[in-house]
Amino acid sequence: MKKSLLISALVLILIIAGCGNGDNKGNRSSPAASSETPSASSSATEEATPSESANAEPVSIIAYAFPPDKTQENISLDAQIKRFQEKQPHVTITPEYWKYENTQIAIKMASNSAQTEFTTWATEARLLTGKKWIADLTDYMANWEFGKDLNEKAMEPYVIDGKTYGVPIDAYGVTVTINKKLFADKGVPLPPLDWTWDELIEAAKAINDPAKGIAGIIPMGTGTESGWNWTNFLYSAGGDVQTVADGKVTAAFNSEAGLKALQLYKDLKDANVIPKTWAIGYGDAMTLFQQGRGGMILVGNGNAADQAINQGGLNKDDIALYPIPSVTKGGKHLGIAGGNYKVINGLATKEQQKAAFDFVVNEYFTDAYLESIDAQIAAKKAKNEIFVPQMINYWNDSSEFGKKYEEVLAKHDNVYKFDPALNGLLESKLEATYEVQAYYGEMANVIQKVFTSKGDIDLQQLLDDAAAKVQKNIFDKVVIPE
Amino acid sequence: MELQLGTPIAKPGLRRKTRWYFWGLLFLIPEILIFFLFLWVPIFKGIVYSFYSVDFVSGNVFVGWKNFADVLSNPDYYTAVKNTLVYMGLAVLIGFWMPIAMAIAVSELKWFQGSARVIGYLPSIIPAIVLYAMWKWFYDPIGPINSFLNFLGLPSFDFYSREHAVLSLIILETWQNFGSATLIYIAALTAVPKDLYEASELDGAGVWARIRYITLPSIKGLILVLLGLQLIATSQSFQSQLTMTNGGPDNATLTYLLLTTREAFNNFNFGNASAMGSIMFVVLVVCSVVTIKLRRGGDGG
Amino acid sequence: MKNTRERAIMSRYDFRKTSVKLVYGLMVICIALISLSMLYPFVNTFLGSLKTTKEFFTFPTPFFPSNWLWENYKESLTLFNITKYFKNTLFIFFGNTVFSLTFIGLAAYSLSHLRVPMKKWITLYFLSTLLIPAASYLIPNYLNLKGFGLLNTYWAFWLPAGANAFFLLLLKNFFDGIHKELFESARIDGASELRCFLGIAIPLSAPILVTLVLLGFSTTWNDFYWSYLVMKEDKLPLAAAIYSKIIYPGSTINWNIRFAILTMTLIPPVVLFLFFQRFIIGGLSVGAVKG
Repeated sequence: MKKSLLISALVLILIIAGCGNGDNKGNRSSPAASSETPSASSSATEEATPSESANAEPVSIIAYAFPPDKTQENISLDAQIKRFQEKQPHVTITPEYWKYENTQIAIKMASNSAQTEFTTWATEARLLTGKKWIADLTDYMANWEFGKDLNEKAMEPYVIDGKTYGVPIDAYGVTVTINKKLFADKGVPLPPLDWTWDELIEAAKAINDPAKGIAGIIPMGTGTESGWNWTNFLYSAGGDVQTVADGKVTAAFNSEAGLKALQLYKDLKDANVIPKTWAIGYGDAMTLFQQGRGGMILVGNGNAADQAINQGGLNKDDIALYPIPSVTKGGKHLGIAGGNYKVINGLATKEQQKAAFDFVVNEYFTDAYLESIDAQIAAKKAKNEIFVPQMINYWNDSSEFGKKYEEVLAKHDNVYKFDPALNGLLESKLEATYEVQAYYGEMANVIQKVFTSKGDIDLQQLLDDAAAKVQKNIFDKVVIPE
Repeated sequence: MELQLGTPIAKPGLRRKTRWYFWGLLFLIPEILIFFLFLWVPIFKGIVYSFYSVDFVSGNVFVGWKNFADVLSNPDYYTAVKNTLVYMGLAVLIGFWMPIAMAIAVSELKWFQGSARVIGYLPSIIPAIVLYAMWKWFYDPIGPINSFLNFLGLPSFDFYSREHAVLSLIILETWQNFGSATLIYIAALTAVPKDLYEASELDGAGVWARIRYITLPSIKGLILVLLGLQLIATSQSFQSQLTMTNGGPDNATLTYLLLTTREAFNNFNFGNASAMGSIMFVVLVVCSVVTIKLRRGGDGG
Repeated sequence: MKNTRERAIMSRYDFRKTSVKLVYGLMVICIALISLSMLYPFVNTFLGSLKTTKEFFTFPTPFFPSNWLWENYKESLTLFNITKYFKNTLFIFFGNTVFSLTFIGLAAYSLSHLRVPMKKWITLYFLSTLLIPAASYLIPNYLNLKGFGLLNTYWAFWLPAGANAFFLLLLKNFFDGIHKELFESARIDGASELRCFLGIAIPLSAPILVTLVLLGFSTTWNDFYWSYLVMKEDKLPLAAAIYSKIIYPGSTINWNIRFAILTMTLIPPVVLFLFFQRFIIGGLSVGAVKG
């Protein structure tokens, strides 16, 4: 009886494994199967019939809608769709809401249910192009009258081997957002804008108040965002995440600069100026900051200010933006640069891709765009909110269009104004390109080791171990296309 | 009994056989089909994927045992295995007896028995995402639990430290899950014949003795089934680890399944993730078969 | 009803001993404390929903709001069509219950009380799925549903709901406990197997069925990740809608408003559960027949 159970279990597994195999042959995503999927999805939307012939053939695409609470943004999008369809009536556009998440994109692509055009981040460029999930836009760009006017710095991450894969929306450099009120409460002066690492530690100590649950600074300690936070200091110390040479990616963050940056984290921990728990992700850090439970936070320039003022209820005059501090006085204030991009679904038909591209750039550099920004600011005003603009946009600030944009902003009194001195100091460097998220994830462990350490630890050893691990498991497997 | 087992009556013909089994098969076939279509087909596709480099857009490539080699050469893999085993063990030590004790206690209540049952089940009603958000706040260094400790004059407790993180998660999960287990035990307890208690009491057995020699043995079968299910469930846990600690600090709460989902959704390596799933499947099957064998053997001897 | 439960493990006689009294008292206190800890999150969520954003984030947070801001509920209703998603959830839940209990019930009955060839194999075929981690077939499962064209339809929930080995195990165990003689005599009286199942097995298993319904409800109620992938926009169940529209990463909806929405989502299941509670107690006294 016992034996029969064991045997039957094994036989069952073998039999069904056999079935599964046979069963799967048809289904395995061979190129044939995957080329089938786009048409399946278009037949679901029922109108798109891919044809070579003319532009006038009806095409239907899915646009990237905003979450439902972003009412004003969704209204703008609807208006934008309407205006586009007046120009190109053969294109049917349905807005659909799915927010890009790097943990969901694979499943969306596997079932071909992502939008025809969607918004993503600078970090995703290598991944999305490597997997062929997004379309090559080089030809469309060449034929677009404003293709040359885009902000080149912002475009950089999506220009790969001379080909363009994304259209920039806006970009940011990481800054340190400071809660000035905590300084005022303690009666200590603000640090100078051109500050150093030592001044950062001093400032953190000055406003730190563990008894009230106030931490001087809130470095993120969990998830990939913690590695992202720390990398700002790595850059500031002159370090690099990886070097790419001879078709090989080599880990470089266990350098002297890396050690310095990690020592800074250790110093912050030893000075007891960070929150009592390491388990702080991006959202938690934001929440702590807007509760006034932490004095400083490292995020993309306007984001903490936006949330803290509009959601947390901090006064806009209590917020100040600082560049990443330099190691020594007068040094570079180098932080990470990132941004948002429009990309076109690589699984869509050529006609859909073309229509989606036309739709995405339809209002770039137009008055209609400026008007919609104007309307958004007015709507925020009505809700008693502040509009926090991005510091870097798809246009060049010095251009004609850039000036018009400034005029729109100047019309309103609920627009957050950045300190012009900040612009002069702030320098940003693009994120590393290969397997960044994996590196960030591994750094999260290192940071947690530092934050939960008791007494002395060998920081160099930590970095070397992490570098060796990332090298062996991740970087060595990167295939750099010709 | 003979109806039941269907001891072959001298090789019945096909027609007789069909009639003999007609109802049994009729009732079973829909369920067999559903299991096949919605469980076994995906499961075996998953196993097949573990031998492929999976790319849904440009096509899958057969890579043989490479995924398994990759997985087994990753030091995190062993950390995850160790953590999962520790987690399973601690969850049994801390969480498993709770619903049994609670079920016995609640069924002894003279008043508010119904209310206690309702309240115990309430956590199962809160959507899990909400629940994790709440507990994150409870465990905060300045959250309600630590405020309470300070109020009592005790020092704050670091729930997220390397030593305590696993424990904190187990307490949370015990809290979350024991309501439904308690309900199942209560259902079984009501079925224990009351005259047994009456009789043993007359024989002079105390309350403890009654619980030990009557209550527990009569729900032994259920306890074993739920123990098995809990072991399986905890071996697969990752949601609370993902939302509360994201595997940290320094991989202290990195479970097997959390590593699997990381491979799949953060590193986009479905081949490796499927390979991890297949390894787990094989291990669990072997363990269960061994357990069943041992139990049968033990019963026999 | 209560008088039928004359005694449990302890009898009135036991309470004459001080030690028993003490332990019993301790036990009651424990249950009370645990109950309090179970109730706390609900109260916390509710009170949080009535605070202003500022008050929500003050430290230390006051337990009661200084002003009971009912307007938060008005604002949250304009943001979120809760009735629609609630209806979707119920729709999914009812379909799941009907499909899963019908198919699982028939199969469990068959395995317990009917003649089945290769019974052990078939049981293994069902129960071994318990051992397989769901994450290992998440993606194939999704592609499978897509292959059947079930994505964005309720069938994507209803049909797979039947593939639940845990329910099958619980139900089969319960059926195993029903005396075979009951069915024998019914069969002799000429009842068909379907009648035996509907007329004897089902009524006798009321307690376990109620438990299964409750477990099914909490699954539907809790699941957000999977339904968010499978369904689109208007057909989302409540938890998935909350996840994707209210507490998605980067949401700027104020926390007091979020808590107002959460409170509203907590009320219906509590009410439903209170309703089912009577059912359970009723069911349990029937369950005693099982023996």
